[in-house]
Amino acid sequence: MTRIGEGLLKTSSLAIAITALMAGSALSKDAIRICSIDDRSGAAADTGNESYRGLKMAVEAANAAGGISGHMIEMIEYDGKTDPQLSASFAARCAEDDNALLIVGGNPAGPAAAILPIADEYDIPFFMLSAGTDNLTDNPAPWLFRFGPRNAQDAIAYAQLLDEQGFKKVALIYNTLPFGLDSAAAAREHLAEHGISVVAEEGYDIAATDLSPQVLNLKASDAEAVLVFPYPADGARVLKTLDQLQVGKPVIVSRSALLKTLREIAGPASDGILIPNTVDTAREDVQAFFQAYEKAYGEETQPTLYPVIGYDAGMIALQVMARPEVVEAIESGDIQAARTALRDGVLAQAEFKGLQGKEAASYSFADDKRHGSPDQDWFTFTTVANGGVDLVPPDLSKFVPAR
Amino acid sequence: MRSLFRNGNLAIVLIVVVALILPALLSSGYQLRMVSIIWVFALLAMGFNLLYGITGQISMAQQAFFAIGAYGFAMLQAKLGWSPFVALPVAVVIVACVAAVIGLPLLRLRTHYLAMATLAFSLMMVGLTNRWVDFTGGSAGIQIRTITVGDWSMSRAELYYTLVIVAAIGLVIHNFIISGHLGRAMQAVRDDETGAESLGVNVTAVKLRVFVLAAVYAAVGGIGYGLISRQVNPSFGEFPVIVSLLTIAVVGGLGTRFGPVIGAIVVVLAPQALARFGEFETLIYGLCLGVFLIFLPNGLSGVMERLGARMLRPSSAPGRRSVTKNIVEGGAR
Repeated sequence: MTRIGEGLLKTSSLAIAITALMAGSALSKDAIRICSIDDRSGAAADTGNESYRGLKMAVEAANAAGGISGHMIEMIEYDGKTDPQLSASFAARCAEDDNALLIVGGNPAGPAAAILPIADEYDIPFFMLSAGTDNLTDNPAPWLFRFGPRNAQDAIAYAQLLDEQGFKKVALIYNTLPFGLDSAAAAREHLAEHGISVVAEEGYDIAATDLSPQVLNLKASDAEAVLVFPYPADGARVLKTLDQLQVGKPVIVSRSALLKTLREIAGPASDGILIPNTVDTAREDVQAFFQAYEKAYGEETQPTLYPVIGYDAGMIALQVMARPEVVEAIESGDIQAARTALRDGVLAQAEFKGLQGKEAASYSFADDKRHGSPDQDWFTFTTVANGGVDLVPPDLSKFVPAR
Repeated sequence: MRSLFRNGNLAIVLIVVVALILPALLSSGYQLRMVSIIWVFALLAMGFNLLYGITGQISMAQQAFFAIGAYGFAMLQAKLGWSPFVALPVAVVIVACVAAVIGLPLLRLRTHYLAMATLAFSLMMVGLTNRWVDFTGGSAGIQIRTITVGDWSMSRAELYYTLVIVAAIGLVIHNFIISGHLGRAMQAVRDDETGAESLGVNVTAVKLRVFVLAAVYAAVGGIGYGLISRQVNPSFGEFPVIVSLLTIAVVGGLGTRFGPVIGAIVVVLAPQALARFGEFETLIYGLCLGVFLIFLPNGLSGVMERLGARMLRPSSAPGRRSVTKNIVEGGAR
């Protein structure tokens, strides 16, 4: 870990600790509870586990620094198993039985959508992580704050890149789950804005084992690049089929390709693909975070957005918790007042610096804007190398239209 | 006195009394939500029990009807501004019509062919709810407002009591059908369609009636679930719902009178109770299911009903059949 990076990471933890101490201190006070409801063993378990670990790092750092005004942070974790109704029931449990201050979670869109009305019903802040479906933040949801990018923001990023690199015609292939459908819809819209036409399009069932017919149609088209919107396992099948059928066009895969599962299954077939990422590995604090993450969990981790989203959500929650009005509400024992103060605190502070995005970017929330990430300066692109093992900065001079 | 015991009427009364007292023993809205969901799944499972357990028609479309009922209820209010009291029966009628329309051609199929055809219908519904974003709200779904009349809004407790009453009516109809002429015709269809036809049973009519009735049970359950969740989204029609339904059948007991209720209790509460085991939760859940499949083929309901029958059997006539006879013959597979 570089000294500067380590310093930056520690500074943010220290800032919380100092603010907490300024707000008051006590030797033994009731713990503040944070609920984590995420997919820990279902189809999107990679995202849930990595985000949970990121969140845990933020909480452990705060506890090591004395908690918030002497209140330790207790994490209560539930595995939603990608089951929306189970996730919704856990959300009610967090709000009612666990008396949690907030809920953090919601990587897949389905469970996130199911938790939303529960958060509204029980008036508990819900920090939603990487669920990308655009309209999750379209409906009025006073207790919702989204930390991951919307699918439309991914689409804006790669439409800009394709335009800059001179692409005019592309092909889309996506699974027919909400993530794939929503991503494809966002792609159509934003590619059109850049004058890029979709010349071929294929949807497939996530359980489909043979994707040759779809891929052959893409190959037969005059597309200059292929955009893929999959989940991990089916994404690997798409990449292997593209490789086996020698499609020979540049490939962009949605953020699901950041997950180890996809790259492990696809192996060398994933080498060279371009993936939008919200983690800028040139940032020293980001490098320091991933070194600390690897040290904490004892395994090599590629720099993806999932642990960072959990960490950022946790850090922002802790920053707001340390505000005097939130501490006062917590100390009064009125959990509902504390939840309201936390929500209002997020809106009052409005802008937060996190590890996602480029150096200049920050999260911003408002009454009518509940997704924190901005449209610009948020995404970087990464590519896969060494047989699906490593995520490295791409050489964009080679990312040019296939002729 | 025997008429009171016949067909499990006393058990129904006991279940309803316990259900009505239950909220007084619960300490939080979360717990009330969980017991409300039990009744929703019990309703869904009652329809499935009639269709598969008693009539032998394996349908994988129950979750689709569950979703259509909830979507119909939500959309009639959200898009047309209808009152929930009008939207509710109309949504149920819509589901009944859809079931009749798809039931006529599909019920010509048997066994796994019927399962596959109904599963295809379910997948179409899931695709529709996910893809037709402008109409269905896509994966974010549609919000369902609390039922309100003037200044009065239905509370969680009032919703729970309403669900108990609806489920109790559903259970009475379920048991009445099993005990009556239609129930015997259904069992005859299940055991041998040709034989049943030769005895004068209109097999097509019986199958279609039960298919529509099961869809209505699912629709009512779906509306209840929508009211509890305060929204409807594509997950209402997705695979985990049919998995829950099949698990209820295994745990509660397929073709039994009270299997849907007992199975629903276990299936709804078990994941909550096992949450404390963390990573081992799924393993424990799977092992328990395996135990049920191997050692309790009639499920918990089968065990309880046999115990009840043994207790009620007069000691002077050990060989005599119980008057309760709650396990429908051949029902449990």
